Amino acid sequence: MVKALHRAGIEVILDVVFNHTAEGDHRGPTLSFRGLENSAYYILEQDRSRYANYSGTGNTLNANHPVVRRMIVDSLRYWVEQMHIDGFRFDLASILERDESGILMPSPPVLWDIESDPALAGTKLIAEAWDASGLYQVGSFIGDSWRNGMAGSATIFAAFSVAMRVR
Amino acid sequence: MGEERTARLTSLLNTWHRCAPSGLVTLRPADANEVVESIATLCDCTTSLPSWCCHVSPCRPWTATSSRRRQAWRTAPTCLRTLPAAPRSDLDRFGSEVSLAVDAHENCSPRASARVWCRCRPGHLRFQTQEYRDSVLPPKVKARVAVEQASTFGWERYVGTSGRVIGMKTFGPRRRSRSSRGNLVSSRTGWWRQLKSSWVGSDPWISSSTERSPKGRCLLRRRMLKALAEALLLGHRFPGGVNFSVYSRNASGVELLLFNREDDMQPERMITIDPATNRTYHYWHCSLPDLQPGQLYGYRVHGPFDPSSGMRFDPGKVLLDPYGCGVVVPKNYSRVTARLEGDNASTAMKSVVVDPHAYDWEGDTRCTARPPGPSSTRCTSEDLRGTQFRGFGKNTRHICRFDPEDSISPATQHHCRRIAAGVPVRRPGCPARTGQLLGICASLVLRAHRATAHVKIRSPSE
Repeated sequence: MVKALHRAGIEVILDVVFNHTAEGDHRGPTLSFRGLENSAYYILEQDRSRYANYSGTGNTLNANHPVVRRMIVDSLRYWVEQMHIDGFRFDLASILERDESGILMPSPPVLWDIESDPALAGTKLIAEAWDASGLYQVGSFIGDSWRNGMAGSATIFAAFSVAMRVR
Repeated sequence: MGEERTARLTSLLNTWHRCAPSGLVTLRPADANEVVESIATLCDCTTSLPSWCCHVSPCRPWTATSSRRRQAWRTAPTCLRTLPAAPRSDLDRFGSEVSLAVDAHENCSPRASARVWCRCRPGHLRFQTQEYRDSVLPPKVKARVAVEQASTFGWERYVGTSGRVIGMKTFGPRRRSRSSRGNLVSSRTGWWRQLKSSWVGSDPWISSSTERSPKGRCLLRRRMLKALAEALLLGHRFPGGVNFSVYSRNASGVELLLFNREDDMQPERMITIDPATNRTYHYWHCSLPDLQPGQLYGYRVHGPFDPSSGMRFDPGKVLLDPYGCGVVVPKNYSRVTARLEGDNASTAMKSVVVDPHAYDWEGDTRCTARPPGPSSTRCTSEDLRGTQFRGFGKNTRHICRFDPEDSISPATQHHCRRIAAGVPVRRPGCPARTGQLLGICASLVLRAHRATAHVKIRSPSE
């Protein structure tokens, strides 16, 4: 499909969801991350037995943990290098700015990792600059080249607001 | 073989000279001319060439004058020939490396040979010519080990990705019980045990003769695989095998399960990952040769179930690999059994080994490989702000350069959907880059991740 789109002169931008997993809240199933290393992959509440829910789906990926951070960047690299994807649209990207206890970080490592990775240079990065717990950062999304901008034009079938950058 | 420079070195060499094992020819030249003589002696040895040679750099110019010496120089092995070109070097710690070399030689198989290159400061090599560097560290020999008494910083560039650096990696008090990583190279055998545990085979040095024989090649391949696995810590496929690696800090045990079918009750093979040999920091890894793409696998992780401390290990569940490139969902997949107690091997999703290199891209390049600069095929920041309309299927949106309401008729929309879906366009006169003419510059593909059945979220009070 990507090959056909490229032949037609169309770039392919992938919608990636690095804010929650399918494992739900504390009553959810054990599919992967929960049984591998629960406290590394998820943001937990203070009592450690409940999941912080900034995504509205029951759990929140702990994106700024070093191992998870590396997984995210490795995943993006895989899509770019092996699957020839041209850009990404990050679902609820503002969650990527939260640290292990859910507090907003001034310079979130994962965003700077994505931004400065040589393998990802030239890809389009589009952020959905809010999350489900009321954080709204359209126009003020962190990062040099994730350019602040509002693009919420009305569309026919779907509406996306994006803060974007093009390197 | 070494050149004496200091009193300390002299005493070291004398000691070593006395303690040398029988059958070992020890040469202890004092200056450059004696080096020539010793090389000539070596060349006159009819039995065999030395199986290993310890370099110590001379500091004085080469003064070979006689014809015998020149002859000796021409016939000397390449490794010896590099002696006069060797840089000035600080040899304060000389001595321990020799015992390492003896150890290595004793532990190697008879066909393999070890070469030891002594340098207190590896940076010297950078300023030498390529020829000299190749003669000291032949590019063919990939099995390289650097032993460093202090910080390991800087050695990586000499041992390469498949090599290994042993040295001090952490700070703090020395552990006495085991010669584990992060310690000083203190005992004669400690470093060797450490090395042995990190390589599959028994001998880490692979000589050119080992490389030539089929068995040797197989060993080499396996060792390379293992070394690469350690270096990358990723679940990727290499020629001749698959490396599995998964992160878990608090787990007490990890098992790799290989399945034949997606709904098997029992795995075909179960490999228990041994933390003593196959756990590097918090990564549990193992390399399996002879696996093919399409192999189904999963993990079973043992550990405490203690939600109050954030640990929710469940050895009854088959877990997906976070780095897995493919997922297979069995027909009887059940989200409920993954939530309840007990084994869910038959109803769990499994990861699949995928070889992405097998796909034929037919000349298509990734965006980072395309030449930089403005290009007509690239959409710009302004384009991305533009309008989106529904693409082919329900999972894509097209980003257009203009308002589709104005200028795209439903027939044209249908047409560009066909192009985007890869349907060959047969309309006469249709140029190759149809998408651009229609105003589509990018296509947004939604839901790349594997989604399970719809998740119903209940409120916490429920």
